[in-house]
Amino acid sequence: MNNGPVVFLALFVAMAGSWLAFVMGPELQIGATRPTTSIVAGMTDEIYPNAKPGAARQGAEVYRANGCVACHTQQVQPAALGPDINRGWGVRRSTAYDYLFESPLQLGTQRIGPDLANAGRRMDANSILVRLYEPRAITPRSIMPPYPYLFENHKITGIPSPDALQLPAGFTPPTGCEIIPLPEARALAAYVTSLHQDGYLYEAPPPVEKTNGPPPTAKISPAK
Amino acid sequence: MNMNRRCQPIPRTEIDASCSVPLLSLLGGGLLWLLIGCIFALIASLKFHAPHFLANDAHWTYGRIHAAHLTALLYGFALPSALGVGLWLLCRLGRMRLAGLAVIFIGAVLWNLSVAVGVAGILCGDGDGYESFEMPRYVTATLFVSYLLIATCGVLTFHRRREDTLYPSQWFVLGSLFWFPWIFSTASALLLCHPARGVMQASIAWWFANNLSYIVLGFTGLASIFYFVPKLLGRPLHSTRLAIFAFWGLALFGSLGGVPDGAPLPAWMVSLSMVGTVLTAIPVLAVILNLYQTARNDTRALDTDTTLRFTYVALIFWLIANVQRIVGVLPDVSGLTNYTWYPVAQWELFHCGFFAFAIFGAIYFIVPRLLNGSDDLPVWSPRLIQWHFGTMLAGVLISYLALLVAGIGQGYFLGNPDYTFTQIMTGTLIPLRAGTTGDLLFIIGVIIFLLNFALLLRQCRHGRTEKAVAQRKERA
Repeated sequence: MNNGPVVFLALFVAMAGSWLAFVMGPELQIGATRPTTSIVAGMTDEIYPNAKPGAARQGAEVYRANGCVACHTQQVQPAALGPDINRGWGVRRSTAYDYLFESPLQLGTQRIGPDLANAGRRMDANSILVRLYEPRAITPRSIMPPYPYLFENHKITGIPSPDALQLPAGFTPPTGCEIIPLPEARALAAYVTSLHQDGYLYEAPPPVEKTNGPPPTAKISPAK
Repeated sequence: MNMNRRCQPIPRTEIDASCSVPLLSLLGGGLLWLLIGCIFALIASLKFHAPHFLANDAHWTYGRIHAAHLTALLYGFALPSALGVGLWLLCRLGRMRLAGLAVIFIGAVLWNLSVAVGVAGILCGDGDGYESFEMPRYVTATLFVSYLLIATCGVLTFHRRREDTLYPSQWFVLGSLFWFPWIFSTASALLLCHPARGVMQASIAWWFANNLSYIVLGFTGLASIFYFVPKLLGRPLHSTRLAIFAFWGLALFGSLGGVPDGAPLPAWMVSLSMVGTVLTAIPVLAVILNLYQTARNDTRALDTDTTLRFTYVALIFWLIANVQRIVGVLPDVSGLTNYTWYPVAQWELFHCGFFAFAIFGAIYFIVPRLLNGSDDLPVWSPRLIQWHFGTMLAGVLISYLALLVAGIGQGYFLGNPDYTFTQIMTGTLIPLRAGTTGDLLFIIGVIIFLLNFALLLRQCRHGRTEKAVAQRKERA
């Protein structure tokens, strides 16, 4: 116990155990996962997941740079564990497959805002842009901060821009002005609209419809 | 090595004088970062009073300021303070002068510069997006090198020790020194240089965050507690074997954890994380039992000794944070606490409660000895100590309880479909806004401490030491 090398050996063993369990082990198991065709629903040949379009990949960098992950997770918990599916944040739990093309991975650990794993299925680009410009324009008591620095306040000269934000009454800019999203805002909206986790996989099958009939009986009777 | 150890142990005052400059640079820098980090926390907290507060400028948006707050606290305050206190413990327990003074000083300067660049980078949008590992990639190399410089000197000091018998604190400090380069290099390599694929990144980031808090910082805090409690009470530690057992338990089980229940990772990882976390109950119990037996029936020192008071509070916070961590992963609870303010409350208690109090306790003891290499020490202002203790304790407790209430409320109401998400989050604003008072009190506490520090430096220059104060009292 009074030997320096013994201390280091002990530390090495403990450290290696933790490292093997949470870095090496999962890397060997799931590090080489590729997109799959093993989708349950309909048994199609469709590949899941698909790579993201370029604008969405740029948007992922905007998402990272502004620390969106501080308030938004991107993972749906299993129905048995949390209320996520009941709250409409997803149709099934998240699996390792869903993140194959996410880098940097922004899984998040805290929900001050709603989960965004399936944000692309709930919101379109315009609604996301309006929320970024002024969250309270859509959710009156939202606690999300606005991101005015992702937008530009233009004086309208000639024809109004087709990209201008469609804001609800009460939030419109003064007459003669329009709010134009900057490229960062549009990339971010493209990223958020690209978020969806809805390929049914063997490890996350579609939810079973509850029936009133008797529970299914075992097909194989135990050997006697 | 053995020949060295047969030599005479170095006198305490000489040891303290030897490590003065490098340790003051580590601890002083850490304290300034603590203040900066807490100010960031206050700004982030104010966003819950008014979302439009400082919203026009990208640098001060919540996501960035939150990341800057965590980074300033972890890398600016916690790691250098852990190094400072850890190196001092290695010197004192090994009865040896600190090795590589200039190297440590250079390491400390490089570290602080890297943290400054890193925090500025995060505010400019260069953060990595991994919790507890937000440092922009361009400072990770310099951070790693400067930590290695300092840690190598620590190991060298340990190697040259002149005291044969090892004390548990040395195990804990060495564990901390050894653990950080490993997790930091793994995270840098697999998150930044060659990013692992998909969800593996989350596994590595959670593993890093868990080990950084509970092993690297937790071990140094415990080393300090194990050193000061018996020393200041003037009694031997109840059982060295029990302490080593606790060390093993924490190293083996505490390092497995951090994966939330229901995470999209293989199920065995979630189970292993849960089992590891629950099993830490055994070493936690061992630590508490050991120190309780050591300090039994002796409360008199609590009123008289500042270091001991801070250390005891740190130990209590450590216990509560660990109990909360264990309760939070239990199967029926995890669904409620996952992704709410509950883990944030635990983070707050562990870092601003346990760790900061342990470090402040150590600093109250160490710094006068570093400033004056004799037995005649400069004295802290006792009134400022009282204020510092009171404001910091109140600050931590208010912040912690506010976050805990917000977390439990959030988890409880999320399961009830009658309430919309916005309604629930608006409800959490009540405790969160109350928690701002805690952040403010904590900042005031840190400022009071820095004031006391400045007074101590002045007293040192004017030669006002313990003896001088006693003489003056006698004359009066």
